[in-house]
Amino acid sequence: MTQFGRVIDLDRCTGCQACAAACSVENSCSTETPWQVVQKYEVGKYPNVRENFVPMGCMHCEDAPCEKVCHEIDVHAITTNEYGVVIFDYDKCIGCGYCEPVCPYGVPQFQNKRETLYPDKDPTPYEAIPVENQHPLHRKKSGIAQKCTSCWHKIEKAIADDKIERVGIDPEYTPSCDLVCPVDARVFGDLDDANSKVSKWIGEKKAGQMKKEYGTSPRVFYVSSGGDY
Amino acid sequence: MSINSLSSRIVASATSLICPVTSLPLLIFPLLMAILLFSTGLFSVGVVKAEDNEKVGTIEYSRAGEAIRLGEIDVGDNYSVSDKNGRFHVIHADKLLLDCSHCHGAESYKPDYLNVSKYKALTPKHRGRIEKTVCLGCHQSGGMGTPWYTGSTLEEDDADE
Repeated sequence: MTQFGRVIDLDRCTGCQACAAACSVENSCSTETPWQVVQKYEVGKYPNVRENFVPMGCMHCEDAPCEKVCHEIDVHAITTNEYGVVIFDYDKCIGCGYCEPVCPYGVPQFQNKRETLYPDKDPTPYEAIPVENQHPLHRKKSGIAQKCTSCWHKIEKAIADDKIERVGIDPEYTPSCDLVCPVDARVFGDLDDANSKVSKWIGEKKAGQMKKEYGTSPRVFYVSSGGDY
Repeated sequence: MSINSLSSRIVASATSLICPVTSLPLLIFPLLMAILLFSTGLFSVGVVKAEDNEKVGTIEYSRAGEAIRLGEIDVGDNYSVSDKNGRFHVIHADKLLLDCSHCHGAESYKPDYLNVSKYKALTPKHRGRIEKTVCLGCHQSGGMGTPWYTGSTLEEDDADE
């Protein structure tokens, strides 16, 4: 069974924020609730200092605590689909906020008022699409939880076109963040396929998961010569 | 017969064997030994009590958590994390009596936040980021809280010991 996942090579990442920008445009994110962020931190001691960058979005955990807590309080707004993508249902979500503190990666976002990506300018072409014509996962509501969907609307299209093997390869079926990386630091594909690029990167580059002590088994892996997390 | 009087008699008989000649040690030495035994007994009781208190605290947390899960303790039905009167804060702050700084310990606090009264409400601007490792302490597999995380640091702790 296809299980989508991602590998991000931190040794290649230059912190250009192209992934964050592409995600915000593709998914109509406001500046206060980005689905993809690039964390940065300094290492070393002056004068030998440098900045490290860690792009972070939803980890689409196999054992997602957000999903557990949502089911526990009988809301059932968060589900993991058969392709390993954790999806929020905006119609079922009650905006309780339980998913936010329970996520070890601080992924779920809440926006109190609907803002555009560029508040002082015209809406972007994606934002200009009438709500009824937007994909259900883009019909965000104020006070309701939202997060990265691994561009599910693109994967869904690949499934409909019977081209699931092209996800991570063809631009129209690949998440925007992975598509725009100028240094090829990101790859998206089927974790269950031993010949996929993600599986090869995990094996060859010894990619690891972040915050393994939580036992959430994230489907996003990181390559870092600095060592394991 | 009390333990102290028994120990005094034993000590007295022992001292009479050791010092059969002089009469003064016969009076003072047992008294000193009795005081020593009595104080040692008190000390050992104190140590046991401290350990018991720690265990009792852990058990009480577990019992309270279980009672909340079973609905025996009323924590309301307001499922809101941001609302101070919501279940989240009622469970953690009101029922389990966790201090605000337990979770809200971030750099956005005022420098004197540790001196702020336990019951003084923190304003939203001092709320700060929540340190997620605090949650892991109780909500891990085998922990006291509802196990949101299947991972566990308990085995690592045992290995360290």
